[in-house]
Amino acid sequence: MPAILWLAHAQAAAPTAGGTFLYVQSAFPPCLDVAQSARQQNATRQILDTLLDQDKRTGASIPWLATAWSYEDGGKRLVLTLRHGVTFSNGEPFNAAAVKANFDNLAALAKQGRAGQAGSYLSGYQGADVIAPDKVALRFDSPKAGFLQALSEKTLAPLAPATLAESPDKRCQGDLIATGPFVISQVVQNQRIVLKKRPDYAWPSPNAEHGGPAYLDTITFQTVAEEGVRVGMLTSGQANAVDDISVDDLSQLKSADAHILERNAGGIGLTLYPNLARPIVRDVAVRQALTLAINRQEIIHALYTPYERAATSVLSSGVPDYVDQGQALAYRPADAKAILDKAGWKPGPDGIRVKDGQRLQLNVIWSFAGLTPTLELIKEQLNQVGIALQLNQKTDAEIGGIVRAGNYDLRMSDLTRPDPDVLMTIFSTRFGPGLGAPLPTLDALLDQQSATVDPKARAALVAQIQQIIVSQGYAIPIKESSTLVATAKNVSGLWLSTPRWPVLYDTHLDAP
Amino acid sequence: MILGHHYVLRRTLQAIGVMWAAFTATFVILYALPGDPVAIMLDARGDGAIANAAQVALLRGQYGFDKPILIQYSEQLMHALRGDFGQSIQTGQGVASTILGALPQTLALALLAWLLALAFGSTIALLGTYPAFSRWRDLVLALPSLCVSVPVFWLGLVLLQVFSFHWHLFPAMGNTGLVALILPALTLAIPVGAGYAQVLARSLDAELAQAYVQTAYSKGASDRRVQWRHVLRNALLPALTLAGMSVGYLLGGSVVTETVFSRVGVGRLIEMAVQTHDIPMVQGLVVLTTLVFVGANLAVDLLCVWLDPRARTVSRSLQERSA
Repeated sequence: MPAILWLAHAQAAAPTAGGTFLYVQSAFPPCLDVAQSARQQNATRQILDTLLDQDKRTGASIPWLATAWSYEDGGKRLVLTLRHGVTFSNGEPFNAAAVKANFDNLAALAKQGRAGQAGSYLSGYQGADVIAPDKVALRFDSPKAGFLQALSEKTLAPLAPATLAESPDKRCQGDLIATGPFVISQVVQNQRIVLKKRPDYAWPSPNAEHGGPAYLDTITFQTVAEEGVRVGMLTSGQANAVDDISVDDLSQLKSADAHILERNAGGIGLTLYPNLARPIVRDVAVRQALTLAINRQEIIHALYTPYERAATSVLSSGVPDYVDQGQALAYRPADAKAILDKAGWKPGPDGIRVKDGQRLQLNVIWSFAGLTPTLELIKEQLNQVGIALQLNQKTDAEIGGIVRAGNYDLRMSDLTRPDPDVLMTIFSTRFGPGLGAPLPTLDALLDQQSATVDPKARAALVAQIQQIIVSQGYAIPIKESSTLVATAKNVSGLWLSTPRWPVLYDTHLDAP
Repeated sequence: MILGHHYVLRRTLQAIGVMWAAFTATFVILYALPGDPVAIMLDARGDGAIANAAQVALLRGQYGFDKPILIQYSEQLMHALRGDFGQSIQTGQGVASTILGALPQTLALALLAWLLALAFGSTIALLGTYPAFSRWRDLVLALPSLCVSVPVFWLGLVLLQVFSFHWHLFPAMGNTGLVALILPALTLAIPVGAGYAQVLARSLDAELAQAYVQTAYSKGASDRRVQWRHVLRNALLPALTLAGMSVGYLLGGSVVTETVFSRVGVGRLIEMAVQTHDIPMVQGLVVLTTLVFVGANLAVDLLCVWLDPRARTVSRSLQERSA
């Protein structure tokens, strides 16, 4: 029966379009407008296209809504050529005027203090010039090297002029029209976001695996806060994909034939930051001892999934210009002890070191509940070399205030953005509280790399910055962050884009 | 008119006083807590990047949080009196419309849970004290203590495991229709019903030992008539008071139940608003829950007076004395 065989083969090769998809996520986004909030934006990301994209294998910038780009004026002017035939889902044309309106809106939003991330991307933005309907130039007061990568962030994705005319609050609630393969059809605060496919979509990123409209008709992004409920929904066939899963769920998910997708989230992984305003951690010997006394492999092995990796630099390995600092981050407790001995920190009666009557005791703050076991293990490891760690878990509501006030020795967090510019968000005092004390050398180097458009020269600067941060203990990296998404066995074509977000444009459901 | 206008008026004034006190206490607590709502909103949206002090100060001004605290209090109180609780800092949506949107979901959940609890509680209590069941008495009367001690959170997860993940009888989450309401209502009803059962069983026992029961029997009344007509009516009073008070428990329980079952409702709003110190939202929710709580207790008090002739005479003689 060759005809039937051929039919079966054809069905396997061409994905069936249609169907509704339930994606279960752990939290509802605090604001749906990516320009105003980076958090939990799985749904909004599906409706947004960006001017450029990052190649999903190499991380290099590739064209999308902008087909070509060139720097002029020594890197202060970026000229973008726009794709033809693109429209917003309300019918408005995508052109140079729309792009200019978007950047002007973001700059205004940043001035109001409502767009922290977009504001840092657009620092030094002077304005945009419409050269032709398909050509626009962005002007900056200094060269902007990291900006090409920023153009592939959904934070800077173009919205329809009609949407820009709405208030920022309205956009937060989901009044968003863009050029992407899906459109928002329903938003129920704290519960779900429903997307519908756009039938006339025809301009996917080169990263996509097919052309034309998306396969799925409808996607519901449902918020389910309980991890056990999320996993149960997937294994009982009630959900097609779930995120925010942990090592405890893996065996249950695998026994239900779920696929586990992993993406190393580009950016800065899980890291301890010192507060340099505090006398003990201002001592570089203490910071170096902390760096060497932590056994990263043991932490991964004991507490995390096999998908995760120990940190080998302050940047995670997927970020362009990452340089391996693994040697400096190896577990060397004897060296840690020697450094502390030399700096005058001598073991006291209870094993904790003392210098000039002061105990080597540090408090660490963090807000994510899942980190408690990690910090307990680190506490045990540091105890071995005579450092006492006091664990002070804070709520999400408290942590920012404590960091701004500087009432801590160490804090732990991570941050996602796959470009070396992510370092500025943490270490430069221009964008946040920094490390509690000015670091002029580091600040100057960070500014310099940000303004260096030549890729080789920038890579050399970024390598030097990573070396300084790790060797001086300005950051004590623990592990790279990674995103895990589990999909049911009938789901194909769901992949995770460069920073960590799921892409559902190519996703389809296999016939039962 | 059995109950004088004075009584109702006095109770209404009391209720308004309670609501004002709740509003003011919430205001004081929220402002005394460490953590500023605008900064929390900015940090939450930053997803790991912490906003700097200049950004926070800029936005605080736009929300009016830089005004003197007494001005803020009186402005908020005046607005609240007009029913205007402003906008949520987290979502930018109107507080009143958000709450009104979520309220029907929680009312449906609480009402079904309350009915299930009444049915469950009275069945257990009557079975436990019914003479025909005396052999099972200890077993049946041990049930309420067990159910009261079970955490709502755990109970919800167990029901989900069994009835949704294993048997696929009910959806694991959502607000769609009666089917999605059953598991959460059951979760909430079991501990509440167990509480009713404990109180009702105890007061049935106490009433059965009263002299009037012997009198009724000696006058030739049947078991059923004594149980239903005489004992139950008297034993109901404490259980009824408890039922009124359990409105608060149902609202509180909805915080956990709505989270476990991923439902939209007032409970979820309370959880989110408190976590993010969303001052306008918390204020609106406190006023609403106080209103429900005070209203339910007022209704129960009036019902008790109507059910119990002794309370009726006391209240009447009190009024005559005050007049």
